[in-house]
Amino acid sequence: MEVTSLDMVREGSRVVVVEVGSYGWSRRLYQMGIVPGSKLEVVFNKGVGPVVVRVGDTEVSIGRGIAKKILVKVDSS
Amino acid sequence: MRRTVRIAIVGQPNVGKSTLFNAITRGNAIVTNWPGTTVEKHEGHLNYRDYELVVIDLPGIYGLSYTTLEERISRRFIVEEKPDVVVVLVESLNLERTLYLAIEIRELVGNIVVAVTKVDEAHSRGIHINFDLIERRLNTPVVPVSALKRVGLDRLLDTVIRSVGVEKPLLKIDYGELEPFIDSIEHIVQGYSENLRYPTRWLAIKFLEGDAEVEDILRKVLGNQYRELEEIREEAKRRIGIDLAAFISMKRFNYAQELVKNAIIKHRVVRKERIIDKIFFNPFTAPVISFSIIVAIFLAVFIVNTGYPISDILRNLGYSELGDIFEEYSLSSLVEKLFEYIGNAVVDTLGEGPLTSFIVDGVLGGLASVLVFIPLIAIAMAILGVLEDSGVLTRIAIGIHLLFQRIGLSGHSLLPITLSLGCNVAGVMGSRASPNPLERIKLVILTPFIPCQARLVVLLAIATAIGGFAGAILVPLAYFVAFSVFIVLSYIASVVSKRRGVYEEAELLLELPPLHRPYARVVWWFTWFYLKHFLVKAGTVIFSVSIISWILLHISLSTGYTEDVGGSIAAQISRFLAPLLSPLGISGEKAWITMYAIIMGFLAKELVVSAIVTVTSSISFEEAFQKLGLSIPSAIAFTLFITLYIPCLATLATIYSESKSFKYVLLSVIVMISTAYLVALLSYLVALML
Repeated sequence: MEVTSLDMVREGSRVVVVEVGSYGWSRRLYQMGIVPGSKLEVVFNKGVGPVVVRVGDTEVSIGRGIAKKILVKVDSS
Repeated sequence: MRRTVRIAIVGQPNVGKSTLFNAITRGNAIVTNWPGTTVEKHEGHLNYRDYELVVIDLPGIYGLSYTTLEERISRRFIVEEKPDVVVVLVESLNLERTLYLAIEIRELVGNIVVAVTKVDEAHSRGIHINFDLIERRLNTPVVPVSALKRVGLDRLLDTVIRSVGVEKPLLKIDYGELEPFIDSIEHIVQGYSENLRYPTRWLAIKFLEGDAEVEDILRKVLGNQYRELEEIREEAKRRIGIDLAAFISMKRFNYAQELVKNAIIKHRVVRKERIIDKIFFNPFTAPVISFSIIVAIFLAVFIVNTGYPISDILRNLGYSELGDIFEEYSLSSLVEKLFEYIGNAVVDTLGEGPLTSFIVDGVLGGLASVLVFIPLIAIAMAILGVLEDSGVLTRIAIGIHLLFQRIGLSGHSLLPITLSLGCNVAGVMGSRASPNPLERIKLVILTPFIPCQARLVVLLAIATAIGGFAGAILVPLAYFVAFSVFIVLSYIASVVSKRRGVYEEAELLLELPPLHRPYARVVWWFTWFYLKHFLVKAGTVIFSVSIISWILLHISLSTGYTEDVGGSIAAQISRFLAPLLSPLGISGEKAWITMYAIIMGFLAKELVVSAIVTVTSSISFEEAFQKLGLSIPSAIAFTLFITLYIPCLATLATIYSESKSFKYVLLSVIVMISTAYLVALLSYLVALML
């Protein structure tokens, strides 16, 4: 399965996180449940502005700059 | 003798921590700062059965890493201050995610109680949780509560009291391939355990996560042997292949999943069409709607407070009487009338004299300046509270993020900017909303440029006094200039910090709370929080400033008490500084009065109006302003200067308490005065040419 950055994923897709990246925001992302292996549903992604993902029962709005550094692959299961 | 039980409350943001804290302490909390920081510490005391409970509200945190100040404060408190019981809040709507924090704390201490919040809401959403099962699996008491409905609070407190002195073994999560590495680190560290306050296994795990504080502790205690730990970590990195912190978080989430497995039943409730979210996440409608909501709120607040701009619009349409009524029955003029009435009564009973003057102009005047803002701030905060509690404010912040990003700010700065339109003290305090320290400082320095309600009052008075076309455009012009200055300086600041390499892209990472009807009680807490701060901070400053200014105005260096303001200390200082105004076309015998108004405005912005009226011994501001003899270009320059020149004393005090640095206070003063002078000069020259 092809690995892309989160900002490139289309709305409505389900993805699995491959890598969060080691920079300022990563710890916060881990704590919010966005770690390698976690399953996300992309709720909103309009090409500009933040990407909204659903992690478990929470929705998190992720700035595009941060989303660019999160690598994911589309979940086929 | 009652026994004292110290309870620390921790929880992730949005789990309902402040709601629970307020419900337990019934709003009676002492607010201080955590030592050496600007993070607030709330502590409540109450008697419960035979105990005196001391409830300490720890800052909202997602986990126990070292990355944020709040996390460092919390874990230090838990380990070093050793509360009798740590109550960890976990949200029933979001069990897995919020259990993460409970798991991290359970690895650190053995005396915790888990409170599962919002159970009423979970129930209505078809979520059912087997609390006993989770309690057994976690080997920790678990209590379901609903703070808003006051359900389960007694049971929670009883469980807490029962847990005092009960130390359960620490939670051991299986970290799989990392275990041998944890073991060997722990083995080394154990040799030094009497010098370490933290559990050794926890230190080993945190060391592998790359926790800077734990690294420091171990380096200090282990000395030369520290190198061995680093080697083990390098080896672990090679074996695991991904960031160790990510791997460890992953294992904790797996553990959380196992914990709730078969313990939670969800009836799929059909998700509603998310029309509101569609509007807020559409890149075209989002900035427009977000911007409009904020403008609408403040127009409403302006109208209630001053009648403006409805009063002006009505007058221009030819309904001048109706316009006057709007202005007359606005909040600020009603409070003014009330104090005028009291003042007259005092004069009637005591007669004229120094004491009367002190009571009426000093004490009552000061009280009025504080009171006039209370209804206004209360209204603005209540509206913001409704938006905040319902989850709409987060969406507005996200919607407006794109616009803000262009000037190097993020959506997190929405709250401070909006609050500043009401009162800069609240705005500077609200800069805490940003998780980015650089952005926070920028907001602390720049939000005071945004005209507060006190300045609006002054602007309106001058606009009325000038009249004509210049008067009509004065208020919109001042707001336009102030916002332009804010935008330009914010942009320059981001360019400068980018050049210096300290720049971090203004980014946004926000949990999206579900939209719901706001709770009156929560809105009240939000309103009360800011109102209380205003009363304490701004209130004391404004009040004492009124007293001091009365003294400066009525005491002359040569003769003592004087009725003639022209001979007072204040006038002497103003005369000395007045030549600074001549480049703005303000010179001559009366120039010192303008300078005097500017100085008074530094103490509190709204004093500009009364200062000019008293010194010129006029009946109305219109008359007083005519007496100053300013040309229209000078009047415009003066107005813009007043709008921008300096944060008032109360705001400066807040800038200090938020930044804990005189350097930033000084920076703010310098930036504002020089900007104001420059803008005033430019506008004077431009206006001369027109």
